[in-house]
Amino acid sequence: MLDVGLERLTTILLRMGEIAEEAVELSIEGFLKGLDVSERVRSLSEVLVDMSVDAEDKAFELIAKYQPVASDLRIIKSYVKIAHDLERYGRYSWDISFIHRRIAQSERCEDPWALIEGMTEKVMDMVHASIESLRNHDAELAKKLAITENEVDEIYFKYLDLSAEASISTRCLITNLLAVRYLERIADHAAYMGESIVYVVTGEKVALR
Amino acid sequence: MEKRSYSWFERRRKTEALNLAQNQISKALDTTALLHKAMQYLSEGRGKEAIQSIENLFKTEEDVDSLRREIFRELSKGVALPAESREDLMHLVKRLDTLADHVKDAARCLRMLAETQIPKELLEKTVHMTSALVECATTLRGSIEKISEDPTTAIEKAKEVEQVEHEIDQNYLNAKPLFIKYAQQMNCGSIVIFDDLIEFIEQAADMCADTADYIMILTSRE
Repeated sequence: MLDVGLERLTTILLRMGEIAEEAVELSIEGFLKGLDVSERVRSLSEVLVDMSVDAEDKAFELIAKYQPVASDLRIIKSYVKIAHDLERYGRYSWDISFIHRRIAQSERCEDPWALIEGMTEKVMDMVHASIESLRNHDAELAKKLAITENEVDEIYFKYLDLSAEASISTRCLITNLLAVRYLERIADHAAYMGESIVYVVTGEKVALR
Repeated sequence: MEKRSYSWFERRRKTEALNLAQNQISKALDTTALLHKAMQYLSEGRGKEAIQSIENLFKTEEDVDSLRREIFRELSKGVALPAESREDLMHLVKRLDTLADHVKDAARCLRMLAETQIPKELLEKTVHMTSALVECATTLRGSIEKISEDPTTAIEKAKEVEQVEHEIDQNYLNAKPLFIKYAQQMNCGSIVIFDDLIEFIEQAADMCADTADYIMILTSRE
């Protein structure tokens, strides 16, 4: 019975992964091309919130009913964390599309330092890799997330420094500033996911940030 | 909070885990009042008092965290509680631990902002949000207390929590466009940290609502 429950939990997470990836991709596309996608992203984010609650309920039910030990317990606990990370992918995607609509008024914002597009590619790679490593229980792929996470951080801090020097004040500059923050947070959650996956597969607690 | 108010717990067999859980829930909800106090002090220009409140909050959050670990340890030993009750306890404890985590993260942002100049309108908006967060937590506490004794009131209060959470979410979204208004008065670091601050308040409120949702499930089983 525990195995059946675990399988159901895994199915929920993998479906969440697909939706989360779609939400991140859509919000980035809207932001880069100047399209208002906020309502679509919002509904994806809401689905993720509901599914995360389902995943947590299922996990606690399994712990309480079957008192799993060793690797089963490790998987269940880590899956609760992963569900939260996937939910946050959705929320930050919505944040990106929300500020793009409310602050930039859905305009296509120029990036004066040409950093954001490269950052979005790295973040998308991380989101994809985090979900693939979950699907295949691939600890090696999960560990590689640390490298890209460092690169995303570097871009983020560079962007903050440049924004500080430029004394930001326009709608687009504020939108860009907040968007890079949300992208950096998505990258953080991808790294957290990587840590959980390594723990699930090897039992080893690693820090990927 | 006095233990007798948690009649839902009292109807179950007394165990160490239950005693710990009562204490954990109470302390987790207290963190919201400490955050609000710190926020109020900051908006009144009383930085020293604000920092003291934040320090108190950090200590309380550490207690919440260690209580959560202790409770989970007790529950994993297979304490004398039926599986369903163990699960309920885990849900409540985990959610309130997460709530306190978000409140602590908000307090961290506040501590960083204590050294900078923040426009009054933004501070006032945030005081309004933390005040609503306290309302959320207080209503949630009232709901938990009534689960067994008066399920109808427990549900009503759980619904109230959802309404307050919705209000906080709206305030959170409405605060962001103010960054344009005050862009000349804030540096980019302050904007980012301020955005973090309101996000953590919103996440704490979200966790209150999430707990309220769970109370509705619990109540239906009582």
